[in-house]
Amino acid sequence: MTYVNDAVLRALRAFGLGPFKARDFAKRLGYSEGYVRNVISEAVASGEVLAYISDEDKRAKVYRINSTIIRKAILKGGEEKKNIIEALGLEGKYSGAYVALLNGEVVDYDDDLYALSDRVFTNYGLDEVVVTNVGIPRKITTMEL
Amino acid sequence: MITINQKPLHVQRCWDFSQDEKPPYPTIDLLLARSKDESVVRVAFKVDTGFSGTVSLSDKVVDEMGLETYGNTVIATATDTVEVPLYRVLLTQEELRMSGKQVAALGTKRCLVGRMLLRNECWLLNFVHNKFCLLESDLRKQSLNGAGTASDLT
Repeated sequence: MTYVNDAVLRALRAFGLGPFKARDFAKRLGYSEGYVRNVISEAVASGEVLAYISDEDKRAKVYRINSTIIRKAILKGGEEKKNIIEALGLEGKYSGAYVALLNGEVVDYDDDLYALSDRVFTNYGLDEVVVTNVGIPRKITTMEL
Repeated sequence: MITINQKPLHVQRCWDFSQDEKPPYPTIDLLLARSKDESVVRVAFKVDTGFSGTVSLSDKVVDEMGLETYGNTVIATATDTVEVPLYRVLLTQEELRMSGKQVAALGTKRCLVGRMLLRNECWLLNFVHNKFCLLESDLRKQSLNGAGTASDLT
């Protein structure tokens, strides 16, 4: 099962976890508005995207990526995780480190998985936060057997 | 008698090698719990001196304890890099002076104990009797102070 569809990943790359309108999405990615509305409505139905009424314009809908899909996709591992990490733009700043993400935002990071985990155990609920590597860790855990 | 710096070698505790595989391999027992108010499970961990972490847990143990993953990471094995889940578990081991210590555990095929738990201790591999032994605390202190090395064993 794929947690995050390609259009949602593109929206994540373009808008991060911030709000966006269907029109902006279409314009930014060069899609037709009709196509974007279909894609968004599917993503809203699947829970990948949350829909709101705009504060400024009560007739317009505003969308956000549902940050809970980030944790699920990372826990899924493999390509799903790689895609999400790339879409969140974590590779530059955090490459080679371990990161702790809460609601899609990096709340802590470290080169040492165990030091980071100790802090995460103390500071966050383990059903909300997710810890993972970004790229190949500088301090990778080795195993012989 | 075996001595280190002319002092007799005292063994605090030994664990039998596991006979599950050939050749038999060293293990130590650890008590695991999911949380402080839950019952503990005694598990024999295979000693992996090439494992740079704390412990790793088999799928069977993870399932039995009902542990939930809080993340994942890639690790380097002897032949490859693989992605493994992360679990939080509470460890108790009297001789290692650990009581309900929460640690990050990896999910792997077998239950393994690594160097982060073995370090700062002095161990003896006894292949004559197939035992893995923890040396008593005074000797550990001497060894930590650099008083004894493997070549001092006479």
